[in-house]
Amino acid sequence: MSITKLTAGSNLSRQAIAKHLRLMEEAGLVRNTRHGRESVWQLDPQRLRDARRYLDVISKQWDDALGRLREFVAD
Amino acid sequence: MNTDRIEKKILLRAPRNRVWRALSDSTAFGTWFGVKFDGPFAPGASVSGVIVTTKVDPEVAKAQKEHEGLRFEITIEQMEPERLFSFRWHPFAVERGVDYSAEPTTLVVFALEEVPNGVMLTVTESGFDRIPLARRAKALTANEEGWSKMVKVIEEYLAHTPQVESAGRA
Repeated sequence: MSITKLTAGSNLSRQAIAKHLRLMEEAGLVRNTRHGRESVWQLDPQRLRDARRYLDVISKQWDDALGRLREFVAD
Repeated sequence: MNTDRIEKKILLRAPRNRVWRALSDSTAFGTWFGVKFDGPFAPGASVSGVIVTTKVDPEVAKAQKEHEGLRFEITIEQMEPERLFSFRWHPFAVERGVDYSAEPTTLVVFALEEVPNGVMLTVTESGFDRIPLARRAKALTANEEGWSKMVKVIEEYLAHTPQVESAGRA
C-alpha cells in the first residue's frame, strides 16, 4: 500500500505515517519496494510468524527446565 | 498476538524454603537448569555460567557438544527471600562467536506463592519485543537442531532412569 492511500484512510499526517512505517521497517514487520515514483509498503507475515515461533521455542525450554526443577525440589 | 512475554505457572509440592533454595543458590539452580555458575547470586551481581550438558547417551552427548561450554551471564535484579527472584539475561544466546552484550536483555522473574499443597511458582520472561526480529529469526534456525537433540536426551534419560514414584502419592 502506498503512503498516499494510507494517508487517505487515516487522520494522521503523511509525515507521521512515514515515520511509523520506518519504525516498523526497522523492526522487520513491513517491507517497502519502489513502484515507479512511489514506495509501496507491505506487511511481512513471515517475520510475525518467526517472532511467535521464537517465543514458542523459549516457552518449551522453560517447560523442560521447570520440569527438572519440579523433580529437583521433590527429592 | 503477544510476542513480548512468556508466563508459566507450576505447582511444586515442596516446602517454600526448599523451593527458594533451588532458585537462590547458584549451585542448586545450576543443577536443575544445566549450568555451572562461577559464583553466588546476590542482588545487583553479574554471575557468569557455563552450559553443562547431560551425558545419558554418548552418541547424543557428542551431538550436543555444540552448546556445552557456552558461556553466558545473568545479572541479578531482586532477591526477596522466599517470595521473589529476578534476573536479566540475553535469551537464546546460542550462536558461537556472537557478542550479545550490546543487545537488549529480557527480564526473568520467579514469584513464589504458598498454596495448601506446596508452592505456586510463576515464571515470567519479558522484553522479547526489544530484541531485533532478524536476530530472533536467526536464533531459531541456529538452534532448532540443537533442541531437537535435547528432547532426545531427556527421553533417553527418562527411559533409563528407574521411575521413583513420590512417597506422598498415596
